[in-house]
Amino acid sequence: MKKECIAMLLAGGQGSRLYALTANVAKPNLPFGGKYRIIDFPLSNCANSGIDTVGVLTQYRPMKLNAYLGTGQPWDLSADDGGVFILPPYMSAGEKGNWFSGTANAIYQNIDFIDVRDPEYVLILSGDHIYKMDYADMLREHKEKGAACTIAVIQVSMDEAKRFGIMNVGGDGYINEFEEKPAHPKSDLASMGIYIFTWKKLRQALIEDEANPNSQQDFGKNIIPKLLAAGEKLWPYRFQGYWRDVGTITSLWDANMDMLSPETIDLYDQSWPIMSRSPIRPPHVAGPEANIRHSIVTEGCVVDGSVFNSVLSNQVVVEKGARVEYSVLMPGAHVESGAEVRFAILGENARICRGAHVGTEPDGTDNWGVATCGPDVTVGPGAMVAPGAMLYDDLVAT
Amino acid sequence: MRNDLHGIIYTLSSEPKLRELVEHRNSASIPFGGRYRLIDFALSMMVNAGVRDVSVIMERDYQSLLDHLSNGADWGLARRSGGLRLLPPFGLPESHSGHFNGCMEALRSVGSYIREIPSSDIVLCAADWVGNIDLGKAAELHRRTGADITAVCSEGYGPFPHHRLVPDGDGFARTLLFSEGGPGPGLFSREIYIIKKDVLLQLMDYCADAIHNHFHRDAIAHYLAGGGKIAVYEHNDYARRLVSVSDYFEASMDMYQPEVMQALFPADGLPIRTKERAEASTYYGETAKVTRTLIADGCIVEGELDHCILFRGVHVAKGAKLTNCVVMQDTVIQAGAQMNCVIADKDCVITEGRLLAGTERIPLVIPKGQTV
Repeated sequence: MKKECIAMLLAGGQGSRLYALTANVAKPNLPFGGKYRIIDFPLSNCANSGIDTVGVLTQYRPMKLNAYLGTGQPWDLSADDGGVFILPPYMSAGEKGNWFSGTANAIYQNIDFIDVRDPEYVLILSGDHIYKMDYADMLREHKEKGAACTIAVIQVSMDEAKRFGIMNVGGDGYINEFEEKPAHPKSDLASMGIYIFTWKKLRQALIEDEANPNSQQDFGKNIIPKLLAAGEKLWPYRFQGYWRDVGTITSLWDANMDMLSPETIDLYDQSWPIMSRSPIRPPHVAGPEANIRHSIVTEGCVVDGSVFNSVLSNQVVVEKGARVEYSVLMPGAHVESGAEVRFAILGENARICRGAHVGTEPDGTDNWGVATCGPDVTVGPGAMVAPGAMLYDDLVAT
Repeated sequence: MRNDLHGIIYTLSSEPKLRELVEHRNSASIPFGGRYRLIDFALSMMVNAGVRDVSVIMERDYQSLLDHLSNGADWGLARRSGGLRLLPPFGLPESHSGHFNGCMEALRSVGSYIREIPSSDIVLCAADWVGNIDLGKAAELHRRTGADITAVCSEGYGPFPHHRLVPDGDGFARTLLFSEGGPGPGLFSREIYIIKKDVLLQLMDYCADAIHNHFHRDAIAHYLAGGGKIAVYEHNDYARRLVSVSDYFEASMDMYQPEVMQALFPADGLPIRTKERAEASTYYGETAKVTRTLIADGCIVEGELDHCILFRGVHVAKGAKLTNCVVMQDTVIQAGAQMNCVIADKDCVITEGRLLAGTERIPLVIPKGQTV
């Protein structure tokens, strides 16, 4: 059962900055880009890179995510000697058991799972990034550079660098310093939260870190600085291409809008398919009054209204006379006749009734933002949802 | 819910009127409705009724069917015990053409397999029709009446030669009629039967020679002549057999209508399953203009479409204008091409600025893989 490299995918985060959208589901399970869930991107990257064993670490509201992953068959990850393994926190004999206290602790608690597969290398992934990456190429570089850890980095502007974990690189090209959200960044190489570790080194570091009562048991804050301090070789793997973290309403909306521009990320490239588990639905229907431009529409949708610059997941209904612009409609969202949805995100099965208005165009003020309706929320006939609003419950017109 | 039915889907030699659509394939694997093959309707009907074992008797041109069905996983039929069984025509003499003249001949070719089926009852149907029939209800009627044979029938008639069953006051049919096409007494047989295995084996024994190839003419007529009776399950929702290119075209053009979509793909159950492909959603460009059209995933649409069906992975470039067209998977329509009443098969390329037109009665068919 020896594997050269296995992946551990951190999918336990709550995604608290997505508010109503993640009140009942884990962030990696959020619908994205029409056909997908966020976790489809790292899972498909694994399958396309030839990594056949993926441990998915779950913690927050995992039921729907577990059902979505199933045996891993949609991502071609259901081989006899590999597959997708859901790894929730668990108890051992005589212990009370513990929640995962940090990203590093989540891996620490699953050392046994990794040891059984006896890998040379372990790839650590996040479940909330949108990108296409060949991990095999990253692994090749990791081996070539004889690193204990290789960190995928992406070039950002110096201004943006203040929001990221920044890697400072020495003359030999290796990382010599890590700074979390520096006020005065010295480099523009931002960590993407994707790591390849030589397992022996990581295993040792996790055990030592666990013994340190002051540690937050986090990869960025604790493990990376610890390896640097120990004089280990850390190599930056420079990634070029599209990569987005979708942790906030604005970034989730932005990244969905990016899917409308083929130059940002090509989802139609058959050589690197992004795979997903799809509900069994017929093709979508554009009705007699449909007017759809610069948009993504998925199977099971029925559109007889106007849809511009928007992303429609499966089974979305846009009735005749309804108008949807610059919006993201998750599975089963329904916009009734005469309703208007602008610059908004509609959660799964949200219903916008006749004559209701959700969101408006940007007006240049600081108060403006993308309007969000949570899953299963009904916006009553004629009701208004203000720009930037976050709707958790049904709304009736006043 | 599990039940004790074994499904058998047979494929017969394709109707010549299906022309180019069956040039490289059996009628069971004709693409239909944007993402399906005809056999998906028969197969899904069985799976939705809880049938756990389905055998498909294949004719000679079965490469495309093998490719489509694979191990049956997409229909939930990839299982250690039972599941999908693909039966090539192995029991035929060397000199046989590999095409079946009738259902009884198809069954005869796999006689030894049928004898080994452990189920008490068999569902038998062809694969050249479109519909979504609740077979579970037919099976319930079959059990309740204790009938040897239950037939699925509809009001109305087919424009093609077909058989009719005339139910008596007790709901059982004892009369079989043949119609050349058009209306007639009784009900129109959908050629979907639930039959006790022992009764089927008796009928197969009776039809053991090469002059008794037909299910209705030979087996059913013999069964009724011997005093038998057939329970009738009526299905009057949308369903149709496709025996010609014009049938195919007409059925395709009906699809966008909400009542047809609801009958074939009800929102609350009886899903029609098909082979899955990894595809992105469909992208509409700035210049797209699309009405009365069905589109599967993975398409890129930048041109104008009215009253069309696009299968998975089709590209329609800017300035292309299509009305009343069926475009099968991965076909590319280049800029400025104009098409009316055209069926373009898989993997075609319609080059820049081409003008192609058929008529509603006689649509133009571009065969698989052609560049126009």
